[in-house]
Amino acid sequence: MTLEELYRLLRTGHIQTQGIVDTLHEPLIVIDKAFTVCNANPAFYRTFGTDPDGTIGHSLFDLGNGQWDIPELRTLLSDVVPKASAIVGYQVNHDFPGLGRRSMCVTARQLAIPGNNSTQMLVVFEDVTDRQKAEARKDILIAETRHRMKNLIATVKVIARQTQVAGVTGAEYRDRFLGRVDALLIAQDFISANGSNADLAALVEQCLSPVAGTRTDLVASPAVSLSENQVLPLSMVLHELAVNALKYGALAGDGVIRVAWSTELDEARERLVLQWQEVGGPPVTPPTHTGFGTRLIDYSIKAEGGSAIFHHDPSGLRVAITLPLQQ
Amino acid sequence: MASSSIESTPFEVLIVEDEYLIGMELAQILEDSGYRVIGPIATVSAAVERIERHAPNACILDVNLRGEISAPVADCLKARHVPFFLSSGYKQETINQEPAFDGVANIGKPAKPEQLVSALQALLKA
Repeated sequence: MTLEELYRLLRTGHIQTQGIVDTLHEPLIVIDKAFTVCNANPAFYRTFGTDPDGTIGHSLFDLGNGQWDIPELRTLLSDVVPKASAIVGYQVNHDFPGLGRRSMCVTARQLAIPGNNSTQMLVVFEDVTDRQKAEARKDILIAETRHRMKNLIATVKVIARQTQVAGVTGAEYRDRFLGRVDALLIAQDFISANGSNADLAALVEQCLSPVAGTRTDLVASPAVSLSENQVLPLSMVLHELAVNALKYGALAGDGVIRVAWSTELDEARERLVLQWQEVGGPPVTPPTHTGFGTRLIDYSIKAEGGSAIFHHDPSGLRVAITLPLQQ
Repeated sequence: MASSSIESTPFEVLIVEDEYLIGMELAQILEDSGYRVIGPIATVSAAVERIERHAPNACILDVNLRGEISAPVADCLKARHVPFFLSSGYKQETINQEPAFDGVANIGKPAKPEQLVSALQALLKA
């Protein structure tokens, strides 16, 4: 190999290595054991808005407005070369000029040079501000999900406790309980699919079909959008009415459930007026006791500021439900 | 269960709870025991407004109300010396992070009815 060839070989290697360092997005610098900057890559100048003149030959602790002059970081760095140790992910929170408040992770290692016990360190800066924000958001989301799970289980326990046990078989209890849990899940799914834009017609259809199948007559009615908080109460009410119809009302015979609604103004506030009517079933007799189902209907509607009025017409149960709508 | 004094002038207990079925059961348990139930109220602002307008004798407070921590409600209750306890599924260390809940017991969620009633009796006697 001629000297010329050796020179080319070394030069190619050097250019390639420099290219890698220059391409890296992470700001990095090389400092000696007195913390003087020997080298920096373009990402460093770009990130901290500085240039070679203001960086090379200066102490790391004098850079910028002295943002790295932290006693703890100084102590850690002074150990890197003599103890061949490393600093991994030391976090510095600082208001960087032109960058704003950022969290930087500092990693420092003795520079690896084969066969040479280097006295220089490679210091890499990683901006973890966005990652930390994303992680914080994820933590909040996880905590929120856990909270919802617990509330959901607590709600299921309420349903288990409140579903009638006296005078029913185990199988009847199970079916009744699972029916209510299903109604709860339908409401949950509906909320996650539709958010705060819950269409009443779709909700009525989804709540009634598991119990009533096709034996519903949904009269064409104006489009009504429910608030997220109204979905669960109304789902439970519709479920209870449908189960009741199956046990004692129109669905116990050959009848159908007819549902229609309109909106009206009540003291300048729009409210929903929903008519539940059972037709073609066996003669109706008013119930002799009020169970959880009746209480649930009454409570749910009143809690939302509405009313549920039952008319036990011999020809079929009629229920008039009113519910204030979100402005 | 209810003493004669409760029957003559029922204690007013405010329920602050955003899960409506849980609130419904709480209300029923308390009513069955002779208390007068206010609520359930589901939001921080509505609860604070209600307490400021007329303080109840006691309160059962959920910690997370539609994504909002109920600390302002706790502060409001403390300022008016209204005894209360928490009804929350949160772990104690999570609750402890909020100074407004210092010294406030959590009966858990859902609490057993008899636990709820005895905790409330103890609260009103104290």
